[in-house]
Amino acid sequence: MNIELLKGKMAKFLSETSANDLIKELEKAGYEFVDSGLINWDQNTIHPFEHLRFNYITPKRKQWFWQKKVGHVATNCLTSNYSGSFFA
Amino acid sequence: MKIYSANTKVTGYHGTYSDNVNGILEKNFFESENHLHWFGDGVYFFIDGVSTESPLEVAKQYKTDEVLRDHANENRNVGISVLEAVIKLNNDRLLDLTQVDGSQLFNQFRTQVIDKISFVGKKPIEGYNDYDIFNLMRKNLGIEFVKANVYIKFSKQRKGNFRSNVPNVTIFTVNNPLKNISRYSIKEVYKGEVKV
Repeated sequence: MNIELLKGKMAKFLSETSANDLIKELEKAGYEFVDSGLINWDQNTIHPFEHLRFNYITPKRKQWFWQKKVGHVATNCLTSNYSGSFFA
Repeated sequence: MKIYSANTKVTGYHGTYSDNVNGILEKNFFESENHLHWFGDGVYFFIDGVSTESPLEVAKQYKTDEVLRDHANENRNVGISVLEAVIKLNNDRLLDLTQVDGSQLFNQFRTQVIDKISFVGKKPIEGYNDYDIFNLMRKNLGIEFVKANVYIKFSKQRKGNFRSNVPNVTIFTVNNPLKNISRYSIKEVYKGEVKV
């Protein structure tokens, strides 16, 4: 493996490729992207419910989350100002 | 860090249905495109590495398990074979995930791609899959070979209910088989039947 060569190629690719180009590439592989503006995904990136689609968090599911004592995660991750820990 | 010479030959073992053998001997391997594959599209081989068994035995076991899973209760014998092939490795196009710097490179690539997309407020509904990140990396960085140690739960581990994260086999994936695998090097080294 020529790690320096690969690092150089990676740096070039990432500097020359826009986010929209990356999205287009992944859409060709069947990805569907949504606007994540309503969700604080930064807070949610290591959360165990990461795999759920956000539109699955219906009021009924919110209630289920609360029953499982993790409701603060399900509800607060829908806002952009949640400062708590998902592991609290 | 292990330094490879500029170009190397790697011997790999690939389990397949016996019915496929003549086609492969005649036309070479073709890349499989399956989202269950770990490191993107490519031809997958077992090679010498972390396994305590030979890669030929590992390939045979892998195919046997696959047949038992995919043809359960068909009450017949299914022919399986293991093919040996010589891979013409170009080290400039190798991503070696058995090395620390190779794994770091992939992690860095994945993080930067995801961060870049997140920055413009987008997220994939179904989440990211390493398979697609590898394909993106392969295509744009010119990677044609990936070497990795992985843990595979073979029937032995399933029956014994072993749970582990410690890699038990070394795999090697190859793109562009027409260029990177000598067709004349391919030979059938095992032929047998699995009763299902």
